[in-house]
Amino acid sequence: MEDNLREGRPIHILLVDDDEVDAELVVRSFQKHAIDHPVTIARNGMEALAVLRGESGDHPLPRPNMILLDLKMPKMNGIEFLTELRRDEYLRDSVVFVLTTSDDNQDKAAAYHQCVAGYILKGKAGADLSGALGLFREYWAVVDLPVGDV
Amino acid sequence: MRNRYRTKTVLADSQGHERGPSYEDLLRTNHALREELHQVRQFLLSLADGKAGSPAAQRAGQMYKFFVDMAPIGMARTDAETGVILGANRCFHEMLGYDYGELPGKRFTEITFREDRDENWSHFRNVIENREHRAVFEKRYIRKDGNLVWARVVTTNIFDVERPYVVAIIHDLTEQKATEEALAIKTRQTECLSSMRLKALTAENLQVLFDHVVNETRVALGVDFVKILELDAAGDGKSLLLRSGVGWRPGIVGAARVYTGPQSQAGYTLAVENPVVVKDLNRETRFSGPALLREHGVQSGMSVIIPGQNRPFGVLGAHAKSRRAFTDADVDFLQNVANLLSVSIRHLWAEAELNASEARFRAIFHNAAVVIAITDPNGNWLDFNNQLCELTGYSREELLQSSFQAITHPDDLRADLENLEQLRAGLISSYGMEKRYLRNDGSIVWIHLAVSCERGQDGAPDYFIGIIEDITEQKRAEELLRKKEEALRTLNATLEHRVRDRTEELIRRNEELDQFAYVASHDLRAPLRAIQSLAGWIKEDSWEGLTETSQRHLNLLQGRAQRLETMLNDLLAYSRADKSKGQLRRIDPNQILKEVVETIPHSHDFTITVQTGMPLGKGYPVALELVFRNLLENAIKHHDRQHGIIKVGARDMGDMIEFWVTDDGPGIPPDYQDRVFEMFQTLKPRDVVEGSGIGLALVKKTVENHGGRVEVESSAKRGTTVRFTWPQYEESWDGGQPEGREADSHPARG
Repeated sequence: MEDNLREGRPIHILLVDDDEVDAELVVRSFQKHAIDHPVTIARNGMEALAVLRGESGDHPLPRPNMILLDLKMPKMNGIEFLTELRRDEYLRDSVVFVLTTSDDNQDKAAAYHQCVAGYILKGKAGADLSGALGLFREYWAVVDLPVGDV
Repeated sequence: MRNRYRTKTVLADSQGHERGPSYEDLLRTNHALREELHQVRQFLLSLADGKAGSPAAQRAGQMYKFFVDMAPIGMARTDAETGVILGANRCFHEMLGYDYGELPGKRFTEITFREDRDENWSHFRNVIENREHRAVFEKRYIRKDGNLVWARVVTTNIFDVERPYVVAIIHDLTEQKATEEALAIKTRQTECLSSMRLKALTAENLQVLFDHVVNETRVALGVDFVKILELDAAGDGKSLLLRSGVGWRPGIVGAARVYTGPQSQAGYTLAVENPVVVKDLNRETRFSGPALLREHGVQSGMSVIIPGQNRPFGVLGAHAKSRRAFTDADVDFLQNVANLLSVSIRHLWAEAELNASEARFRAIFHNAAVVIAITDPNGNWLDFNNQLCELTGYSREELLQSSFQAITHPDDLRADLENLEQLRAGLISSYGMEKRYLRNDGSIVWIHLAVSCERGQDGAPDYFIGIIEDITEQKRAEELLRKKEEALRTLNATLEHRVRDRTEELIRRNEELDQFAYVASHDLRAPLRAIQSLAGWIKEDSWEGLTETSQRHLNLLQGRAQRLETMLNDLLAYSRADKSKGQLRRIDPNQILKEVVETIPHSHDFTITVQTGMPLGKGYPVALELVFRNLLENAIKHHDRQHGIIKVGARDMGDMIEFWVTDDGPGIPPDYQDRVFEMFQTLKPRDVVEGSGIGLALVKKTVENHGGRVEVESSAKRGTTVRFTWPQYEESWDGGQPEGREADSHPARG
């Protein structure tokens, strides 16, 4: 499939996952599918917030961005992160896709309660997450995201 | 004057039965007779006063002669000195059976019975010598034919004539005597009957009575023999036994038998059902015997039936050696005696029965195994058998002074009295209760009491009847039983508790185990996936840079990782295997097999034949599918050739179905057959075989969970058959629609 991306406009991906291998898998998948959007990795919810807010000297994560969120993480798990995210005035409009192994209905409900864009099971996403990546490509191609700080 | 004495006066009693003249009748007749005599005498005397010779006197004389001649009583003149009869009238002649005119010239002593002569003569002399003016006496004349005739004579002497003579008025007493005789007989018989009646009342037994009766009867009738024959004393109905008798030869009474055929007098009597009178046995035509009578020289007799209840008791007979003509009165008497006997027999028999019955009741009363007791309406002991003394320990005397209330346990007294009140009032007809008596030593004995009431004519209670049973043993047994029951109940409760606890524990463990299996398999996946991914990446990134050894290692790594995944999947499936998904259903095996065959990998290389029309099963469709899937997958996996034949069949075994899956693969060596169902058992090296080895263990667990059994057959060189049983669906069981599997369940797949 041809990439149908906005000209020169990168989408900053924030991958929130404590599992190194899982994170690696996502990265490698992106590479395999020739997606060269920048990917930042945060190991847990707190780190993710720090990245988004631009703490400890870094700039906040530029817009447009998209968050791929795992749920089972130490220190601050996915749902907790979402809760915090939606409370943040500047961050509450973030686009979040949950990417997790948890098939638990309660997790799904909690996630959607925090207005996630979608809930993807790693197991169903296909080998190398091709299913998910296909989804994202379409998403970026078709959907508009606002740019900059507004 | 009417001739009262030629015509027989017939007197009858109130029932019209002829009877002899009574004493009063005789007196009346006598009185009339005297009157006439008196008149005659007056007439005679008046004649004596008259003059002889005058025409009046001659006429009177002729009248006198006529009168005397035709008088209906005997008249005679006898010379005072010689006693020669000077004249006698017709009547006198007739009385003595002489022709008219034969008597004058005879001395009166000649025609007087020898025994009466002296008395007669003395009266005669008295009259002549004027010591008596008139003599009245009774004597017997001798008739011409030699027979005697009783007469009453009234004599007077006539003095004032030339030759004194004695005038006699003779009254024929034959009938009177006969009447007297009859009366005497009657009186005697009546006395006999009375005596017999009295004896009947006091006789101890029938034999005593019989013996008395036969003797009295003989005297009363003046016969030579009397006998009482009892019918059927020997039981054959054909003979009569001589129960009692008088006049017979020794040894006869009590032994002799007379047969009841009509040949004997007794038999004939029974046959005609009426008294039988025999005037002359030798001339008798109605019957010929019996020999008994002939042997004793019997010539005449009578026999009557002694009545009985349903049939005659026997025959009463009276016999004489002479040819006597028995009168109706005799027969009546004999029948009276027979009737008396009959009544007595009945009474004595009834009395004997009563005594026997009484004796039986006494026996029951005293020998019963229980206490039988009687109290008055107030509860005082009236009578009881000795068992009460044994039960209570009190003596008979002590109890008779006491009442049941006195020996009743105070706790039971109220209930007892309440029941008694109801009984007394007639609200209930009896009651039963368990209660305690206090023995004389103070100990308690449990009894069962049943009380009823005997009432008098007016309905008021006369006495209470109690049946009392010692139930000590029973109570003890009851108590024991109760204790045992309690112990049992406690034990039961304890056991149930334990079972409950164990069951809970078991359930908990199972749940833990399942949860563990689930969690384990689930949580183990994550690192497994990571391993698989990493191994894959290394391969992708650095394959060429690896040494051959490392390449081989990397492949092994991936293989093991895969194996681990399979094992985890199977473990997960196994843990889920007995979790019910929905309800028990009707299962169509053909439907399940169709789907399984379609979805098994490599199944198109193999020829899988499924028998059609399999019987419907009962259970969880998922479970049966699991079994079939595993068995078929196994058969395929373990086959050593690319193509093979697998057959699936089923057989109706009643409440179970037997399924089998047969393949023509390499088979399982006998040594390994018993390990085949254990978990993770494979025959070949782990790397060669894709299966985890859990398949058959899974099959076994599932089948056994449903109540079936599984076994493997692999006896020949090649081929394996796995057989298992599965519960069959019965028509009477309503379990829902037949389905291959539930629509929304996931097949157990790795």
